[in-house]
Amino acid sequence: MPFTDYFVGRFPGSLHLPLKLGISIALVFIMAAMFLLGCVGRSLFEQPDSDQFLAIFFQEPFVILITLVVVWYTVSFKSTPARLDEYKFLSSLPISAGSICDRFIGQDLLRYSWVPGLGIVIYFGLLPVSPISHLFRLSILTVFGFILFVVANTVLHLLSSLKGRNPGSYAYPGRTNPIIIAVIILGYAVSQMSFIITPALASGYQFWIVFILLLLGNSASLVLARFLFSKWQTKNSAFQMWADQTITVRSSWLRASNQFRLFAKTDPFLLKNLLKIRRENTGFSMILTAMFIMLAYLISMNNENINDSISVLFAISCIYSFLIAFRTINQFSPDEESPDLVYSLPLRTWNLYFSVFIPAMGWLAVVLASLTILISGGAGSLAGSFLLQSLFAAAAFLLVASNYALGSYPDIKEAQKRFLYWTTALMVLTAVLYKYRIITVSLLIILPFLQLRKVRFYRVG
Amino acid sequence: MKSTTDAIIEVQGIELAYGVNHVIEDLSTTIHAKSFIGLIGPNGAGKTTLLMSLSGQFRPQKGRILFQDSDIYLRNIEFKHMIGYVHENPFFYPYLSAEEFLYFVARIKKVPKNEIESQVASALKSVCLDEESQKLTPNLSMGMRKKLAIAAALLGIPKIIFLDEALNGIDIESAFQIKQVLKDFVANGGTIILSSHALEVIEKICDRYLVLKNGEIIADLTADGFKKSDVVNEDIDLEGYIIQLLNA
Repeated sequence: MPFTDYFVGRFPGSLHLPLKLGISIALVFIMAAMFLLGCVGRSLFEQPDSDQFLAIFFQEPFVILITLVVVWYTVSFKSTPARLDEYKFLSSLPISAGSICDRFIGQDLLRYSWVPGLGIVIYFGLLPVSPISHLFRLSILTVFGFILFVVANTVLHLLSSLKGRNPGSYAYPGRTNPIIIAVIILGYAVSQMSFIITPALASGYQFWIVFILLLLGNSASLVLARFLFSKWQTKNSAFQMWADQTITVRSSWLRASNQFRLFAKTDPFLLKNLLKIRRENTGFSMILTAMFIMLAYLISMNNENINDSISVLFAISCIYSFLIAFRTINQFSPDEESPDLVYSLPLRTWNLYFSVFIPAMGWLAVVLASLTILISGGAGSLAGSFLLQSLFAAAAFLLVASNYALGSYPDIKEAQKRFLYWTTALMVLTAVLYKYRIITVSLLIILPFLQLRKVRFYRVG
Repeated sequence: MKSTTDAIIEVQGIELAYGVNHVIEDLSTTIHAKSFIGLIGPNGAGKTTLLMSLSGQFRPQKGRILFQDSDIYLRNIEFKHMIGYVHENPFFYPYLSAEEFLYFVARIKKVPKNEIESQVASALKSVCLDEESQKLTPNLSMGMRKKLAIAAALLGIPKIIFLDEALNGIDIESAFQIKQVLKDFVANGGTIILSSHALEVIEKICDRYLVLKNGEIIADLTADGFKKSDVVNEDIDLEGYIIQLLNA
């Protein structure tokens, strides 16, 4: 089945044919208009003033573009458990490997189409300092560059799945590799930046050279993706793929590293949660956190005054700590800590409490220390003060979230609601009673400990 | 019926409800040590709810459950150190192997450190799961998961084991071995309460049958008493008798 059939909805199971057809026609029309207005005649050679263009770009659009990249990374990682089922279904039908590959690539293009869409919006924010024809050309390169990187993403995932003694492990299509995604997204960001920093690349005949290279790259990577997918499918029946998913742990935790043995002696719940962190795919979190640190630093350093910068960084770190604390509540959800198991074991409150609090606090401490190191070059004492304050805020958020989560266990919705109310109260009361903020904040941190009196590890009708 | 002196659990007029939905009303009974009790009843009779309550997981709205003269909800943690519970659909942490899960439970149950390894190995062997011990729990079949839950319940040398439909889905050979392990457990002074729809299993291994209907015990029979009673004849077995009782 040809690649384009996906877009007009002829693939088995595709719905909303008129809508897809309409969108496809509109996209072709818009693209044609951009070509006519930006890429032919004199308009092809129109360029903005490079200095002015960059000055405006680095004020705000740059930060938005970085945010866009981080969001794309986050969303990309959370993909495709349903794709395995879809693959299982499609591979049982008389459809060629290439068509299934097209289907998945088409899904990815549609799923992330907001990326070039928002990119174009960001570029058109530069209209006051740039001729519109240049922005049209940038938009065209954004769209075709996006297609190239999405297809390349598939190619790299397939290559990683085909390597080694057991070709075709479960990495594709059901799981995503955070390193590959990071490389792809950073590659895309860098390519976009190069078009902006060097306007000549997107103007004149150079534009056509870049565009033709992109077209050739798209075609070649699509052919390669289809070939690799076919190879992958040949070596992997759906059943082989399920068999590959059986993971055996070679070493028990008693035989694991001394560090883990040490934890085992103190609290099995804590050890269990550390093993969870160790075994789950943490590459994604690491890269996302690194991006967050860079972004937070860039945003805060956009201020001329170092005090203002550190205040902004403190505000960002508080928001981050709040989000991590909010996420911590999820670790007390019935899916993570089943009441069936928790209620049937002789547990004490602290077993659960510290097993969640300590890893989360450790994580926050590493992030906050990294931010402190970044800012310490210009202002050592201010950086130290920032570290202490932000660690205190992080601990406060985590303690309160853990108290509410345990107090409401296993109803995490209730805990999340209470935690949100608490945060709102914190903001309002510290603003209204700013003079007495130390007392107010202390009371607000201590009061949720009363929740722990309610903790009972059995059901009450 | 055994004498009251060897009573291990005393249930005194308990009522259990989920919100306004009353499941058990004014239920009293005594569980004796060294007994193997079969809990029988139709779907929705309250078997799981009763098991949960007897095992310290669902506090009754009324009445008390005493273990060695102490309310199990006042000394909840101490009581749970002395029991094992197997849920109908047991939960496991997906990032732990079968063996690690057992180590985890053993640590929670405060099994002495020098005994953990031997107890875990013995529990794995007794449920025929020793060859699968390094697999992550999501990679175990349903039957294996049941076996793992039974192995976990055996840890810490409990006094009482509660089994909720625990033998369903287990292969014949393993089921045979597990039944033998459970019988040995009772012979060595333990108590088991088994809820099941498999009457042939209950008839074979239990020495007392509690028949539950609409949250009430409608029959409390000892295996010996039942076999010697007038109701048993060539045409009627335990299954037939229970069906008669439930339809009465």
